[in-house]
Amino acid sequence: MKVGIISVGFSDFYDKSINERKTYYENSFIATKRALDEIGMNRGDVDVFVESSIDLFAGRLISNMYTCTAVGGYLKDETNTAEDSTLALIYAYMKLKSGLFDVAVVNSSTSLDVDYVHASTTIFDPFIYRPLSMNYLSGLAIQASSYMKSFKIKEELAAKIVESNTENASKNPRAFKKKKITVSDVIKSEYVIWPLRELMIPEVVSGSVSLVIATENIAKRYNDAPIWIEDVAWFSDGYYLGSKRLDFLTALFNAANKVYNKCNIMNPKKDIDLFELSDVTPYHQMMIYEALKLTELGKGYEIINNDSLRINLSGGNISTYLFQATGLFKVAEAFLQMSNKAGNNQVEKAERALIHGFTHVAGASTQTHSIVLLSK
Amino acid sequence: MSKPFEIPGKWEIEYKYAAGPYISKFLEGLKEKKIFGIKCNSCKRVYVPPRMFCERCYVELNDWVEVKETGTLETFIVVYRKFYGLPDPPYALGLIKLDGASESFLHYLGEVDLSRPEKIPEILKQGQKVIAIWNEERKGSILDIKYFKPL
Ligand SMILES: [Zn+2]
Repeated sequence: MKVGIISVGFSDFYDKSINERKTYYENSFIATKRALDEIGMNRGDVDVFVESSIDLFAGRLISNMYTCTAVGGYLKDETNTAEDSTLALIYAYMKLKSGLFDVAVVNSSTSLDVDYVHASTTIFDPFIYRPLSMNYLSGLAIQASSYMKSFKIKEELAAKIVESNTENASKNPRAFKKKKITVSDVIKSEYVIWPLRELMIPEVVSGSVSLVIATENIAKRYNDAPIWIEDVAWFSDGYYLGSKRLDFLTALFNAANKVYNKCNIMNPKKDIDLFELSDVTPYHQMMIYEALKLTELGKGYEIINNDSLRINLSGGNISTYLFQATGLFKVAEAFLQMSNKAGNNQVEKAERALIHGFTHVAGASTQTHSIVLLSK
Repeated sequence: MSKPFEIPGKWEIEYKYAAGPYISKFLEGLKEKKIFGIKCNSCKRVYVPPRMFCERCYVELNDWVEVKETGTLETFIVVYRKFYGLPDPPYALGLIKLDGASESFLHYLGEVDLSRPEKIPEILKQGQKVIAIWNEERKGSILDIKYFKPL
């Protein structure tokens, strides 16, 4: 039995300059209502609700107490994950695959109620890493530094990735930041944490994304051409930075192997039309290419986004960084491309897409990686 | 429509975190200028800080070893932005493989000129030898080591 995505919905997205901010659960309501209205579905038609929100950033425990009803889950089967939202989709998918349920709403919402870097200091253990002033950015910077050193990567190569992602964003009507950032803009920007410069670091925006997924027969009732979830996988690495590989994303590599083996993907570059990857920094994007076997180890810089290898048509995290909701945003972007509803940035032949989700705040850095493979 | 409210808030919750027997022994050691690690007899890794189990072999660890206060710098970063609640920049952090350990250990790097970010790759180098500089007054904290300085 297949499970497919039948609708997506977005709230408006906000940054700190916009005063009329809504609460994260109001945005969850708006995004979900739009996704359901699009296909004429009511909350009564939905069996299961899965959200992704992180209490620390919502500033409330348990943050899904509010989103539960905002997504339509009043007196229904509802649950939350404090991971990147691709995992919420994966959990919902498994519930439907179990045969116990037919329709699920998946939602994730990001607030701007707190400074994310500041809040992220509390993620770390109180004995060793917290007294050493760690935050999620320093975790990412340590990985970037390790990767740069291992493979002698010049920062211009990282800057090119920012340029390519933001060029895609300039064509995507749904990207929050549409301004193209050039290599020289990146290199001229200040170091925040060496080796990361200001314009290599995505800035968090607030907003919400919802998906509606359903089992095969129900899916076809609401959408002539559902986008099927072909496979999913995820792996978690260890916590301590000092006892895991920093210049290679082992957890993602394992997830890719699992998906490629199951779906007979011999040459991912050829067999997959779209890639949506979590560019938490451009150095990570290079590491992601390598873990997904798009190129050899240390050669991530060779991958160029073009018509035959489409990477981050959405514009990437650097343009629309909804923190844990970023994964769902990317799934929704791939859905729109594959449904021929992307608008300005619509590409031809979008039959199969790989979306990578990245819970980069859980653990010292990049502990959990997930993959969702979509096909028509 | 008037501008929606923003209500200020802050969490101030007191914790007394149990450090557990492994981190406790490690922190006790730091008071005496000793750095304890723990060895996995299955994969031979030596972990600093020590921990109860090897995550790879999934066995309990009991083989305590003392590692040196000297080591090799493996990876480093330099913070140039003032973050709320964190030290004034610039400051550097490094992952250091202490002599006698197989896994690396995070700590501050000191006595290095961080004033010019573009010079960092010349000033800090992978493979550089470093040594712990201890605080005079030690109370059983990771900060009993002030920082590591290049040798
Ligand atoms: Zn072991």
